Amino acid sequence: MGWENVKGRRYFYEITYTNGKRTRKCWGSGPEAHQAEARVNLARAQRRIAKARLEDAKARDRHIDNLVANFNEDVQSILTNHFNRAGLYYTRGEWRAARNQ
Amino acid sequence: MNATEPQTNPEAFKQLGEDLRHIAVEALRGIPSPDSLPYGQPKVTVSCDIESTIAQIDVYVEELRQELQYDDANPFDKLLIEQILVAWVQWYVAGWLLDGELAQKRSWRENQYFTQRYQQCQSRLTRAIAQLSKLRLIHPCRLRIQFRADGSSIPQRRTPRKANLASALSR
Repeated sequence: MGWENVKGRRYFYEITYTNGKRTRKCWGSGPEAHQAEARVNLARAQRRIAKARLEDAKARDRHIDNLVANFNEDVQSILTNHFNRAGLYYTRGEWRAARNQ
Repeated sequence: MNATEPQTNPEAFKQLGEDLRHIAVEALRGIPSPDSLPYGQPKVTVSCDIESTIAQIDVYVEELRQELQYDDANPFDKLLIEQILVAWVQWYVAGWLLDGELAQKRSWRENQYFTQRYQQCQSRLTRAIAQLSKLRLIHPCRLRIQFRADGSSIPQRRTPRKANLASALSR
């Protein structure tokens, strides 16, 4: 993709994918070629921005998730501790009494 | 927090839950405005009032707190209710990001991520609610734990019989 020299002249080629099929289109070397180049560069920049934005969102969510996980861990440890002292243990999604009691 | 000496202080957890919800909601302010997003030609003017959404979340959280009977709950229930409220806010924010006005202007990859995020938050919320319901199911007759004024529990030496557990779970 981009400018290619063919027999001493520069031609702009754009590659598009339609239903998984790769298509290579030549825009010539005139104003249309420059417009196509600008469009391709813009799309590339947009993809880069979208990727950075997604990475930001992931980092933000990861930070929140870590804090919430610590909070949940505290809650679980308190519950487990109290219930164990009350003679219960957690198994298969529910609290049960120990068998020997 | 030290797990060997648990402190079931609901007020501390309430504050902690409040902070976490605040952080989760603040994520909405960090997102770019719809018009600055590169996708969606021609440019569409959309109203995206994040401040009103944030204020609405606070109202919903209070309603949910009342619905879960926070004021009448015992300290253990209060901990789990805080857990639910945090999970609910995360779920709401994820849903807002997924289905909001921004969705049409995002890339396919972003939409895929926000869909996964929404499903993840939904399952966490479901788990938190299920845990509270199980605790409430066994608590009245199964766990006769006495609470002190500061919210900590007095350890019980005698454990109830299995028959009590069976009757509690069958209700």
